[in-house]
Amino acid sequence: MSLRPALQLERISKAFGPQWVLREVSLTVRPGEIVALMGPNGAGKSTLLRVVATLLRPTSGWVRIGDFSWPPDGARIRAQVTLLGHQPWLYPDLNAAENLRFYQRLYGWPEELGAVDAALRRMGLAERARDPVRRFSRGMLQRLALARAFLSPAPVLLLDEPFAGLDVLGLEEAREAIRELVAQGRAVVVALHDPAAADFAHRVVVLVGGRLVAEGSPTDFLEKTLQELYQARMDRRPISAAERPLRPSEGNFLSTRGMLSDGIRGISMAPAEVEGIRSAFPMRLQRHGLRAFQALLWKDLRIEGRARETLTPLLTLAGLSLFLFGAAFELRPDLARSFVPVFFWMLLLFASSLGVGRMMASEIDRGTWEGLLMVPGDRSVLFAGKAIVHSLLLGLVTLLSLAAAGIFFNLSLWDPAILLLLALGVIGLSGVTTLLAAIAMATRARELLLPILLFPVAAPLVIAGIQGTRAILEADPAGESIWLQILLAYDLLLCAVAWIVFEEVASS
Amino acid sequence: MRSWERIWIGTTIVLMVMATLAVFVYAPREAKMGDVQRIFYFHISTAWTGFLAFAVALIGSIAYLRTRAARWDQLSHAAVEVGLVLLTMAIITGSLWARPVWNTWWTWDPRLTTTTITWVVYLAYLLLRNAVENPEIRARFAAVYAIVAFVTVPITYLSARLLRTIHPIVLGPSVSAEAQGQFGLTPRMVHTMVLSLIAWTLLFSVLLWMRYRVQRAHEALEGMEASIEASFR
Amino acid sequence: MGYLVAAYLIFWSVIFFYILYLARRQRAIEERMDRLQARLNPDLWEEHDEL
Repeated sequence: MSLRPALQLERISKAFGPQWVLREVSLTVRPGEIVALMGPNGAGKSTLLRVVATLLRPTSGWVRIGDFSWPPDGARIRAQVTLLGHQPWLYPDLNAAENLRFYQRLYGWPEELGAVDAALRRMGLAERARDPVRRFSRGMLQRLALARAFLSPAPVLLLDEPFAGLDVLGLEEAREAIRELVAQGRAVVVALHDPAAADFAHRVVVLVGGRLVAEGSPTDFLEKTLQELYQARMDRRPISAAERPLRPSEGNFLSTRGMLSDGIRGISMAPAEVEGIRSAFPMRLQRHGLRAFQALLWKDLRIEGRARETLTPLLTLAGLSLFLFGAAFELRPDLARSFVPVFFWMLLLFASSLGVGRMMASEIDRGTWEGLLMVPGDRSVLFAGKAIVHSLLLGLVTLLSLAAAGIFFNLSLWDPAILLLLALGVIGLSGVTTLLAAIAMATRARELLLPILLFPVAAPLVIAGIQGTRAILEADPAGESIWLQILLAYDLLLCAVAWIVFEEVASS
Repeated sequence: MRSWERIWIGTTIVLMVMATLAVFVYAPREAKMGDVQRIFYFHISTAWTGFLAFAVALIGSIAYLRTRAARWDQLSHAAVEVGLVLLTMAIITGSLWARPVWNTWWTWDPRLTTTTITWVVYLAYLLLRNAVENPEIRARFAAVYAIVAFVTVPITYLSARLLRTIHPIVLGPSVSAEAQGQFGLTPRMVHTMVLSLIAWTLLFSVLLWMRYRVQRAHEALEGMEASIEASFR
Repeated sequence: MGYLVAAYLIFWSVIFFYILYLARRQRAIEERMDRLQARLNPDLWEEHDEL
């Protein structure tokens, strides 16, 4: 019985615009194998791992794990890989254990009792489990990120410079943990720049200028050989035959066939055992969506409860503008009925833009957005999570401002119809803003671009909101129901479109 | 220039000349408004081509997300830019018509407001493109935004119809008794209108084609420069 | 009549300048590509072509 490869890369190329970063990279990794990916800075190591992790879409070529291929089936490939990237993907306002538990739920890993504690213990963090991550040093963050990777049951582990910032003790603990994982039949691809750290790998492949140029055992690639390999490519001289140059035109050169004949040291796994581990982690993606959604909700509300990053500024903003508006205009009651709705809906629009913008910006600035993008299954669950969390916050701001506006303008705004109108408005606004914030925050202009994108798109919602509120205040039931219907149609249409297209904007 | 391009552009020019003659000579003088009513023919035609352009951008965007072929993204980009130029023209000609008929350059009439909102949406589209450097991400974001924008346009127009409008509704049932500058169409007016619509649609297709070619050439040049840069590194 | 002529002139001058602008841009890009191609080593160029 032949071993099925754990991971297969087929002629993967990646271009960033007109620039080629990877060119026809083919590689096969077997269960229980550690492959070290070496190469000079800018060789494309991280890009390759990010393509495998489905964070980047290859321009051509495929990633295959089991029966799935990426593209197109990134949703299923994501369930089979775990990536440790440059960013630790940790939330400073959660403690170490909470961080791990969040990712455990988000990624749908089995929540066995004591698994989190065991992972923390393994990376020497048992005593710091209840400390907020913001007090962690660089090395401890890396330990915690490693602990998260080791908590994963995924058959393929991708580690990008996993030893960066670790002390001697941490380095040994991490290497020991990786050895244990491969002993269970997991496959590990580890990007390294230091040849001395590669000695625990079964195989070394060298990536230069986006091409795989050589492969061999760790002892084949001492510092000197690597230097020559890197240098040769830089000079554009042909590499000598002794260094086994490999060009993509030679096809699928690192094939399973070739590898098996070479034999791989250090692997003593019965194929049956490996198959057992592989099937121990079947993901029901449809059912997983709800669990991931709960995890997102829990995480965002807990962080908001601790840091109050969004709620406090938004409430202050609402209060301030209410005060300025009221003081400046001194509206008579009949004018108030006409103007307060305008003010109120404009306030909502600004609050939504600022609040969602902040929320998305802090995910991107902390580097945790990529961690969220690794959620197995449909990424639209991130849209739902963010939109609902923001609806709750914006809803709270709305209710408090509504109470204040009622008092200051002497209007009775506590009408069930107004509340319904506002609820629809808050949901629609949160949805559209979440989608557009995911776009705007990934661009250069960021905070400046979000209102430019949002305001014209949200115009019908604001018009309907204003007119509907006016109709209710002026006791015009016909107008009331028409504007309610328009708001409802807007919400349904926009949220459906956002749900469908969110996958396209959820990128790093 | 290839022969089919020559025929195409030639037809466009001939039809544009015919449409112009029809507007100034063939179409009858409208009784109440006089000659200024003739603006109506190319006001409507430009507005129509503007919205046609945004529909093309929508189709291009959906096709891009399905195929990931750069040409669809280039088409969308070209269509939005041409559409913005045409819609701007529609707003300006409308304003020039409004001055003598409504006695103002601009009112906050819902139809004007919604057209302006549409205009701003597509301006935002171009600003978005400008803000993203990576061509692949730029294409994806722009496609998503074009789809979202196009979805909101009909809702915006629906809410405009519900608000009281003074804008005449020449095509379609008249819902507003307060429209100012409303007029009935005579057969000659209809002929002129149809001819103008055809001529303008052709003009739009030529503009779109030219803009699309510029975009293609521009991206090809960028690709060439980048690969030369890469090969000397 | 004045408004009609004004509208007509504005419309056509804008379209005319837009067409002129597009044609100029197209020509500038094509000239630049020709110059680049001429400077380029032919075998290098082949390699990029297939990308």
